Amino acid sequence: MGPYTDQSDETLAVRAARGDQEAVSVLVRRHSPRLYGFLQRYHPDRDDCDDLLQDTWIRALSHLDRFDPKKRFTTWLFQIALNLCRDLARRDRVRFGYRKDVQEMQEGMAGATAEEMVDAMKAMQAIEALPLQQKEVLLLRYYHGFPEAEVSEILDCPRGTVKSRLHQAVKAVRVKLEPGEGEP
Amino acid sequence: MNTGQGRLDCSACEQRILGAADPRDALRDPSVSDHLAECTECKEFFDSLGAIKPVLDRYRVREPAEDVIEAVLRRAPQVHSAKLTPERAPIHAGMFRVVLAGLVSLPLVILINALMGWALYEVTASLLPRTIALYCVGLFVVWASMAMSLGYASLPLLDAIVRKPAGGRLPVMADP
Repeated sequence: MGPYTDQSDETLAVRAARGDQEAVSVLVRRHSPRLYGFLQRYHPDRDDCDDLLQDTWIRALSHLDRFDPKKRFTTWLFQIALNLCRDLARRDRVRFGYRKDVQEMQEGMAGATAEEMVDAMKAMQAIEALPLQQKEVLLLRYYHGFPEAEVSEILDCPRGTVKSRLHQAVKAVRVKLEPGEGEP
Repeated sequence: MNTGQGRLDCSACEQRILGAADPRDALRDPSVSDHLAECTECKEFFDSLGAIKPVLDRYRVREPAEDVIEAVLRRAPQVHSAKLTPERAPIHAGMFRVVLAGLVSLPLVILINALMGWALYEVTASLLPRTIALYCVGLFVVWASMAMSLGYASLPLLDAIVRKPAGGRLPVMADP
């Protein structure tokens, strides 16, 4: 990779827009794990996540000339990913549900104890039960560490709305995870 | 919501709570604990997050498979070259031929229209007074000119139809 690994996302994006494949490679390798994590939690279906990851990158790379280097690359990238997730959700017309089964979750949690697995499943179900708007904020703020201002830009909504959605989401998840909740 | 001078506001407090490995760690910062003592909204958030964080943190996800990343990187050069194609495209050959044919046929089109105008004048002059015949021919000339102008002006539209909108749609490329 050489000196490219030290460069900012925005610089690499400008180079990638000119056709520099090394810059593309660094960007893709740098951001794919985080992006893939977001996609998995947003749309917990393995095949869809692989497709979504590819679609996000192909769309981003084919529109790099529209990227404004004064803005953050991650904000732009996650906006694209979010739009694709929403499109897919609309097309499915099925609330993502609990398609991710225990076996699939185990693949992502090698070495986890049974108790950890149960907790992970509970967390996933509690997040899946949230309204999409709250779920998006929770994923971006909590799991992916985006600052409030950046989430506000990704979701194109005021910062106050981000804050209130996060608080509502945390409260709703807590209610869902309280002992006795969601148990048969 | 506390946004008092010299104190932590809600956003900053929230950020520190979220940023801590354990929300209780954030209490070591006096500005956070002071804020929580005054702001019920943030206190509620702190309590709720503290209660669910151990469970939320167990919801881990996989890394993307290397072949998925490789597939993206294989397609990247194709995406870029497909993107460049419309910018490098020379003047569309089809459009050039259409314009050339239009210009070459222009004298013929004018001649046909002139003959039609002359015929119209002959017919109307034999039936109506000369001034009315001239008026009819004048109207014909105006309408014929407009039709010709519109016809030639629509050539770029014809080109737009012929030319596919490259870049508007993602190229379909099968992975090897």
